[in-house]
Amino acid sequence: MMTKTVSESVFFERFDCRVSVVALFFLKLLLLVVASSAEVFAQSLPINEKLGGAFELASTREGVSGVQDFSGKVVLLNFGYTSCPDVCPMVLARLSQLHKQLGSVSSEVQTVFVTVDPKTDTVDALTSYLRFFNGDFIGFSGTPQAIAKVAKQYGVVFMEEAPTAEGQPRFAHSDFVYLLDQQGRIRKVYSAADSLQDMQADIRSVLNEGRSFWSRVIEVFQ
Amino acid sequence: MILKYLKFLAGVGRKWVGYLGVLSGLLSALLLMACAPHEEPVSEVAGGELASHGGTVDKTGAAGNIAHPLVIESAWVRLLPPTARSTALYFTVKNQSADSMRIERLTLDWASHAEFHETLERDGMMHMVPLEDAQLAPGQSMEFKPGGKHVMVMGLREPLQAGAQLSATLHYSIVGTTAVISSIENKPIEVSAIEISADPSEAGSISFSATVKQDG
Repeated sequence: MMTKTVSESVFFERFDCRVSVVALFFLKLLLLVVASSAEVFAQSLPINEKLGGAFELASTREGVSGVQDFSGKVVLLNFGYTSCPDVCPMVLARLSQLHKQLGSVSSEVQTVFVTVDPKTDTVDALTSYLRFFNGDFIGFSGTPQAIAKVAKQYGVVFMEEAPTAEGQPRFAHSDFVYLLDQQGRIRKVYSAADSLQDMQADIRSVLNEGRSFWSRVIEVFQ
Repeated sequence: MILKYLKFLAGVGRKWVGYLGVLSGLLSALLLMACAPHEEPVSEVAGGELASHGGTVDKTGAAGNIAHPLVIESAWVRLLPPTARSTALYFTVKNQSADSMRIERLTLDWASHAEFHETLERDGMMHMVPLEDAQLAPGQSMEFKPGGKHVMVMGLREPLQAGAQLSATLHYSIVGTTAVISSIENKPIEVSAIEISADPSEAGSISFSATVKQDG
């Protein structure tokens, strides 16, 4: 044991620190490349081919009538209604928070809200409501039939319930958030239980699908 | 660059990439240790002694509060666009008495109605249902939070203002336990307990203020 300790200390004394710094740099470089490739070759999110798709509704933005009009962007889609006191504002506040966390890639993500209460939620009503959460959120409204069709397309269920004592509409509805890729395909569906961190990681992974390995390695170094 | 690298590692979120980070950190430490003989030795921190001075919190408190059976904390009202006619109020209520308490109702003067609701998931839909029999056992807390139990506030008299303090009063009653004896023909007497509301004169209320703010 003793002899081993002595030889070790001799080794360390002779070991030049400049060499160790250079070695450390190359080691980190290697680990970086390995880590990046882990992301490159990571299994991408599955594509849900049964649900989703293009639609034609009135929207709060000119020239936009469905998710097909955001080509090249990742879309976060959710359904709700503006008189909803608890769930809808909670989901929208979460999405607003998510956009803040996304930072520079926030502009590559479009959040959209489809009303299940088109009688109350006109395009104007949606505009002033959504602006409160994020000026870039886009709302969709339309005839009850058109809304029902879109809801069915996305597997969203909703049902009008007895109005409140104040005569305000009340709906039971799914509160899922759909992550659509740049081609408008559903890649993941979230509930309120999913963390913003996980959602952020998924969004980044979908955005990264369109980028080459080396452009991402360079990105890491920038 | 190192910052970016760390951010990258954190962002990837994969366990083993995390391990790589740890491994690289360990290796850095090892290499630095190799350099250590050339440097001044770092004096050790006497952690044990420091710990023994650790906080004995003065639990008597400065408030000198007259023991109210319920304590309400972190009350807030969701800020919504000026067009909103309803909103939700959230808080945490704790029963610090030795009796069971039942939350009866909530009154406020800045809206026309307030109801206790609970958001429940059923058949893939989020339903708002009236909160049934909200009872608090001694020492128990109940949290009203987004996506769960909440007070639905309807008929707002004025648009909500961020940072405003809005007052509300929570009314409660004390729940008593009485033994009820029942016998059915030849069977032995069974004793079961049912809970009934105690003397209505024992009901009380607690006023609090809630801050108007956005989620998060």
